[in-house]
Amino acid sequence: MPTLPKEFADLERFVTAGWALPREHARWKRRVTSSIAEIKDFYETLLPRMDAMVKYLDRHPLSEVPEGDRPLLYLALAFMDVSPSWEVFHAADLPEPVFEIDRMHIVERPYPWELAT
Amino acid sequence: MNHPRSAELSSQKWTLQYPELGTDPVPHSVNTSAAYFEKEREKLFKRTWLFLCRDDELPRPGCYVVKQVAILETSVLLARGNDGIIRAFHNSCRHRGNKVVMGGGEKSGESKGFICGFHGWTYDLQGKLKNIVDEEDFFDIDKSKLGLKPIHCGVWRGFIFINAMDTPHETLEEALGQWGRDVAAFPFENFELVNVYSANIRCNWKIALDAFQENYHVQTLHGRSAAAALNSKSNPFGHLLDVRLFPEGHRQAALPANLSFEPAPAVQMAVKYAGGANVYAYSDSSQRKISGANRTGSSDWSFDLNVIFPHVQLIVSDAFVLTQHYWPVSVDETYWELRQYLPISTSVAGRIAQQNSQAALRDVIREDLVTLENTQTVLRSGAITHMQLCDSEITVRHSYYKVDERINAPD
Repeated sequence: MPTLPKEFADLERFVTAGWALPREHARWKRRVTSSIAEIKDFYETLLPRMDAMVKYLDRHPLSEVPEGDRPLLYLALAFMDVSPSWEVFHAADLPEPVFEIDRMHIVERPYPWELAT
Repeated sequence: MNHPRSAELSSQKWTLQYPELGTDPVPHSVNTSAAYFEKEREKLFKRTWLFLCRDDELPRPGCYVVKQVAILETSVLLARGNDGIIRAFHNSCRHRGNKVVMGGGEKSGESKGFICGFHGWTYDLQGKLKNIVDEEDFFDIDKSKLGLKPIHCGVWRGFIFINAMDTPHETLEEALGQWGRDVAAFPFENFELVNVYSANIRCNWKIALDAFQENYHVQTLHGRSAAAALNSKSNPFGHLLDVRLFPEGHRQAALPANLSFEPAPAVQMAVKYAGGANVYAYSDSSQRKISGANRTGSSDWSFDLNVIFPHVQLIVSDAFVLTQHYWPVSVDETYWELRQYLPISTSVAGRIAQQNSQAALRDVIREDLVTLENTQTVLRSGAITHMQLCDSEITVRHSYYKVDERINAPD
């Protein structure tokens, strides 16, 4: 069953591939455990689609993003999380030696809809 | 003292403006000596106003936070009372000293008061002892004298400080001095906390602080990442635009930006969605007045790197605010905690733009973190007895100078 609005059906394959993650830490892990080919595909496919995605999502304020829009939002956030891999490092993760991300404890802020419940 | 106004205007070195610092190599033994560490505990940390956390961690009456502060050998309980006032206590029951809020690590929540999990003694948010289980079984006990032991607590611009002395030598306002009066003008209320990173790092707290308080390393360590946005053709080594060292121990350095840098596509998107600056995209800063920052009004300014003496980095800019605590745990262990604040956004576009800054900062910070244990491990050999410090590392030199001044002060 598609999770994205029909205008963005072409991006559904990235949802299937596990990119539409709500948590930053999970997106971060997804990024650093990807191949560079996968990063390039995700980055280059979303780059020309981001303006349309943001325009679509911006119909509502952040506090009222409908449930059906959220996978698209998570993909847009993942694009930003992935962008340094392609734009800065040309690699999924920083070059060795790295400070392992599992050593960093992260406390993320909740989304507004998580607070309401 | 007549300090030069910017790197361009002066061929003089900053360090020479502060002759008390000297220009000699600085001994490294203070980063490996257990005896020196104990002096830091007794003569510095236990006698200084220490920035603990922001008051946004306790937004409402009834909110409480517990911080395990190893260098003070205590657990600190912060609580916002029904009167709205934030108070600090030793998190220790007056009965036999058990932690009232038990466990290690950081705890937080909302409550009407605190019940010790050992024998059920009950305290209110103001620290008053309200109830003793089977009180009649004690001997001449006076509840009114057995409230939670308070710790001196003060708030400056939403920053909560504690002082572990029975009678602090100075008020918080005096301890912050001119630095506090100047930075108070910065609009912290326009920023929201977006995430917190923390880690235990096997290095001395000063090694951790040093890596984050100078920018000489930008051209090498951040050569792939932040260097292009900060260092320019006219300022290839990122010479500081302004430096101020304060007698209370605080310091401030203004870092340059590269205005000719062409940001990558995702960064440009973020700038478009959010408006304003980004960690990888700086515009002419003389055109945007930022209270409490960029004192010299430089056009090619990126951010002010402040150190709140002795152990906290505070970066302020219109793009982002960071606090980084380097809490000493032992001579070669530090608890590092970073809090990242970005301009408040209520739109989805703004939230997506924020994620760009979060990703960029995270990578740069990880580049810094990798050096810390690499340094400490080799220092233990004793092979390197001194560090050579250049003018751009004046903040590092000042840091050792001010710590040592406290360690050597008469009791």
